[in-house]
Amino acid sequence: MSARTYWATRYGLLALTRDRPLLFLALVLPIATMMLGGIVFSHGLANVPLCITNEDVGSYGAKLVTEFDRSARFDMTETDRATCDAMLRDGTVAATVAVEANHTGRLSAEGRVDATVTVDNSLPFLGWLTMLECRKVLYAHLLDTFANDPPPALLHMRENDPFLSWVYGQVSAFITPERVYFIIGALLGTQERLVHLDPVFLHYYLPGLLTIAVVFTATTLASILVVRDREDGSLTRLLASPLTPGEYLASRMAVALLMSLVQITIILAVLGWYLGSKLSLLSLFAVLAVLALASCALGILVSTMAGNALHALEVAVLIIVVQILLGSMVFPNVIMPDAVRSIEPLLPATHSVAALREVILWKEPAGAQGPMSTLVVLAALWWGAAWMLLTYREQR
Amino acid sequence: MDAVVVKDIVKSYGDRRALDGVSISVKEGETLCIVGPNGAGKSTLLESLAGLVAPTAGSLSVMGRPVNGSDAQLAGQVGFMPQAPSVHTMLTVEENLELFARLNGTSEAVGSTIERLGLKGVRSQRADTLSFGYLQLLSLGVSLVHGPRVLLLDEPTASLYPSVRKRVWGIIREECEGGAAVLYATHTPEEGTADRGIVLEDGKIAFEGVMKDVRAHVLGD
Repeated sequence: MSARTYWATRYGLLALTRDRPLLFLALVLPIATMMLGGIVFSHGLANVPLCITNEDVGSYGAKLVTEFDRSARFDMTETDRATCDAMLRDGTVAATVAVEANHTGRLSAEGRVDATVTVDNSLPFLGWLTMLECRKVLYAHLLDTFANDPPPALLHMRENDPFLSWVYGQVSAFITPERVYFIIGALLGTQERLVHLDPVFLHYYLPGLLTIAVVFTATTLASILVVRDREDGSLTRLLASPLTPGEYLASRMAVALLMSLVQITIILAVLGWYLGSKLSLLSLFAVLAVLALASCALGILVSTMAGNALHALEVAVLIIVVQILLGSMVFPNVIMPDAVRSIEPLLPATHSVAALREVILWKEPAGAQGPMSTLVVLAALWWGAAWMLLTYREQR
Repeated sequence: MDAVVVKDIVKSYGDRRALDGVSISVKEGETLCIVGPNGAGKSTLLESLAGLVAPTAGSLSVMGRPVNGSDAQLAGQVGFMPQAPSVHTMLTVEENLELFARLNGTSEAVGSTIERLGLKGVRSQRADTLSFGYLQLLSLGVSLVHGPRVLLLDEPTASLYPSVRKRVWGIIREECEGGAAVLYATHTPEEGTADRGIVLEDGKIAFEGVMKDVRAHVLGD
């Protein structure tokens, strides 16, 4: 780093630390969002409002109602079918369960549960989860009924099965594929094998959560730096000084990167305190630092292109949203059309999530080297593009 | 020695010619006033000399070196003050001066520049809290703080109170007496310290001569 780059970085950092609203937006908000995400992904479904109607005259209907009532997952109301339907319609409850009139008879004769579960799936995740939790109660009801003479397919569903107990122990507010596979698979008589048996459920979501936090901070911070200098006119002065366009961009990259590294350190300190030694924090730091580098370079390119700060932030947010949608951190990217997926290699999140999965789930930091190298190459490409653009644009 | 030499410079933006065959030279210790209506090409000429605008044709040299935006050594010999006060709004007066001094490899003149410009009372004040007059003075200070050999000032006294304008002209005179070549653009040729001037109209030199004649040309005396 040249002396000029050092001074430009030092005073750029000083100026940035005085812009508290921007710092809050770029630094604190992603950490808070990540922690909120961690809380959401660490807790199971609870107190879902449910309306139940029992039209069965036999004893199994009343038993099923009691089982729903006992479940901590549901906040149950028992009433007639019409009232339950009205409550579902106006959003007072998320689901209704109607125990049909012939439930006891059918269960005794055919070994089948005669109940109708209706779920409001306008909130997809809540709808899915509620359906799964209802199924779980119904299966438990079935198992309990046949406790002394279970059909072979249901043997796998016993709560005292060590593997099933482990799976149920990993309940979260997200659908876990293994649970869906297990329920379906058990009835089909297939055997399932899970790739990852990570004991900490949060680990499945960490690659996405960490990536979102770092991408948000690095991209927004970097995207604002050059355009702000242009808006207050100091860019003109800086470029008329001995500071070259390359040194100037390096200084702005350094400012955004330093702030991102501070954020990464805070995140990993909290994570280390929360999860202890279950993760290689050093490997995580390396991956996140490279992700920050690539995101800063992308942000600097946006900032160099943007006409004003609002424009820059709009583009930065758009880039972040695209990465959330296509970076496979939350949504399965395999369902996207090929044309849309073609931009995945250009997104820092794609490579970051791949690298973080290597470190967190496979416990193989060496496997992260490939995606990390790609991030470094992307950073160099975007920085180079920003340099060419600044040189061309400012020397009109 | 000629500190600034401009030969047949042309700068086009599409079909419009902001500068159209302008040639000037300014010696060390000499001051040139550039007068002209809005859009005449005054700022473009100064920005070209500062390496911020690449000419379409013609040549520019400052202190014997061809002007280009990536010549750090040349940039260190030039002090450029843009038309709008252009400083880091989040930094204080002193920090702004120190930053631009450090970028030129020095920091010795920060204190004296603050004294010279009368900025002592606001030295710890952030630029975004300064009045326009103080901002203009700070902007001038930033272009002076590293002791440049060539000063390019775009309307250095615009919107300033008369007594402050007088102080600014005094400082420019001192710089000139110290051997610096000064080029400044203005709309008010009746004041200032220039030895001679040019009148730019539609990117061309419409008149040039000593200041008395330039004033007469512009003001129609």
